[in-house]
Amino acid sequence: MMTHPQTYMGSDAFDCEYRLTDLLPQTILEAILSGAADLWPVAVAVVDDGGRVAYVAPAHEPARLPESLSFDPLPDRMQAIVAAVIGEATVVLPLTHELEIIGYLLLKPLPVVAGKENWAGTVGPYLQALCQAAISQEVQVLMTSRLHGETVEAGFRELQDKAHQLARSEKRYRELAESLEAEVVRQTREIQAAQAKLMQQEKLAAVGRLAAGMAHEINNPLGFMASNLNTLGEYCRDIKRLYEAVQTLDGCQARPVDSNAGPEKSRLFALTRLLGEIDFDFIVEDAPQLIEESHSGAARIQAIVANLKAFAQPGVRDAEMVDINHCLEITLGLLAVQVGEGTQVEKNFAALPRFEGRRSELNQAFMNILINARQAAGPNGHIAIRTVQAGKTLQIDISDDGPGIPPADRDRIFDPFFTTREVGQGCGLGLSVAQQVVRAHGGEVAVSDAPGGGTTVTIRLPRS
Amino acid sequence: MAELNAGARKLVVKIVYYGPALSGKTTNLMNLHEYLNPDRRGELMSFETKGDRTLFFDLLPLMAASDAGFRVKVKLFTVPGQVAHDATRKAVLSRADGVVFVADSQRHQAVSNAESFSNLEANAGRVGLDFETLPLVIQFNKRDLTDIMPADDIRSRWRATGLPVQMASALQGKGVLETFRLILKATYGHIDRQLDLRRTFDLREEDVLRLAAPTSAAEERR
Repeated sequence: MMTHPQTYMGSDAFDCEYRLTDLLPQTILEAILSGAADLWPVAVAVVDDGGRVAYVAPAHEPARLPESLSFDPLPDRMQAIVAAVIGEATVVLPLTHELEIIGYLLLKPLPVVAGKENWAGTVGPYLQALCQAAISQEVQVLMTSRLHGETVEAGFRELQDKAHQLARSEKRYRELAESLEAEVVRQTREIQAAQAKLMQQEKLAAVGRLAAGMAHEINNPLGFMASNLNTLGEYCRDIKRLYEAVQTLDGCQARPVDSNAGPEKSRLFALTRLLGEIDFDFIVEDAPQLIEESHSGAARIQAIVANLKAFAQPGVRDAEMVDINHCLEITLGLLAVQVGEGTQVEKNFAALPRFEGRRSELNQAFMNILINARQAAGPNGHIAIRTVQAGKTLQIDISDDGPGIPPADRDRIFDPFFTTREVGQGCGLGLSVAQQVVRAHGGEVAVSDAPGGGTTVTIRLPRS
Repeated sequence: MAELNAGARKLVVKIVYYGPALSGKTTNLMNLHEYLNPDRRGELMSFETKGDRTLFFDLLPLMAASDAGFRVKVKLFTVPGQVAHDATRKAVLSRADGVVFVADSQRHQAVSNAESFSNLEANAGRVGLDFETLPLVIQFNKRDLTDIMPADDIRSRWRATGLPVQMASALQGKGVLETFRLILKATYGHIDRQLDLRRTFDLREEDVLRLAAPTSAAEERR
């Protein structure tokens, strides 16, 4: 990159090309030459290398140079310049600086009454020497003072830079000090939050171990209970068949028998009376119902145990590619069988990419949330399910139009065994399990107020 | 970048003699002043002021001209080598078209040489000179002394830089003109590449190198 050569060197740089007017300023010319014009009968002038007049004495002599003269090369027009400045000059002496002529000293003898010496010829070299001495003096002064100026300026700039740097770092420290307190408070809060989370996790782990143990212990007796109930049901049917067969026997009507009836008849009569006394008709009717109720109780225990297991150890099964929308459909189907058609369900499913996860766990999570929604919505309530892909997140919103969650309960709904329901209506593991499952899949569950009242549970899963 | 005044048909070139204190920079200029044709050289000026900042430098102006009358003024400067005078050194180095680095050949000066050279590199950057392309000649001075680094060692050490290296004994006037010729050549080449001196102004290298031609009297003295 080339800087324009003529403008590159600052005209006030210490090493610039000095001109006559720099090196012989008016005051010095005045000091040297005005005296000469007073002492001797000479007219004196100084022109620079461009022909510009720097000084003329005596002052009454014409000083202006016709403009036309400045177009010619200097040596050719010197006589004309001299003539214009001081009339016919007899002496033209160059003034030099660094091997160059930077101007001329011009002299013309003035008419003197006494004697006709050519003063200009003798005074000229003397004045020239004076001017040269002044020039070399001025070069020293200019170069040293300008160099001094440059170094001082550079030093000043350095100091300024340092001062700016100091001001900047001082400001930074001041800001740091001011924000330190807030920073300490913020970090303390973070640490407290982390500790609380850690404690929560510890608690959950302990609860999880307890739950896993309980689930295992309950499962075994539950197994033979369910099996025995089946067998008992079969026994009941056999007993009913037997009872029906007995009733068809002759003489087994519940009425008095002849006294002369045979002993068989009498035993039959006694049996019939006994059946009447213990109301065997009712037993035969009621026993299958009792067994059925026990069955459903066992099934409920089984569901609770399944929840406990899912809560205690999510993520043990292998992952597969899961269609979330399909999972929701299946879960809804199961739910419909359980509860009938009372609840209205509005589905708004977006096309979702398949998600790598554990299907049964996800189903369990959806099931738990949907059960909550259904219970909140009530028998003729309304549930809205929406799935959407937002960037790298799969989002599932499950909203109900129930009464919503009181603010006081908000913080606790994910706690295991927290429930607002009557004893026997739920064990408080539903949302905990859902959260465990979703977290195990790298996602998050959040609860918010639904737009039209009620609650929205939002599940966000990272797109795998 | 050299100062060109096309109207006045004049080019002003600045060459700076850089180096550690007492390595012989001023002696170089004094010898040049002595050997060079008095018609082509001005007076050697030494500047020294003692104020709140001490300034030292020397200036020797030289003037060359082509046959066609295009003039080249070459100003030779020296910087103060003392570490303390870095501000002056920086100011003098500003706007340099070429640099002669005058090193002291004595073994115990190796560290001073290295420090001064890295100072040159740093200051060149600070005053806006491109050190990669700056014409630079290395002079190892004081070859007349004992306990000096051997010339072969010096040359092999500097070979990788590709810079011209000149052995000299400035006090005895040896190697001074050669160094000056080397820096004139390098500087002419550098400016010619930017301003096309030969074609634009008919200024040839030999016009400038004529500056380094000693007077016959000087030849005899040598």
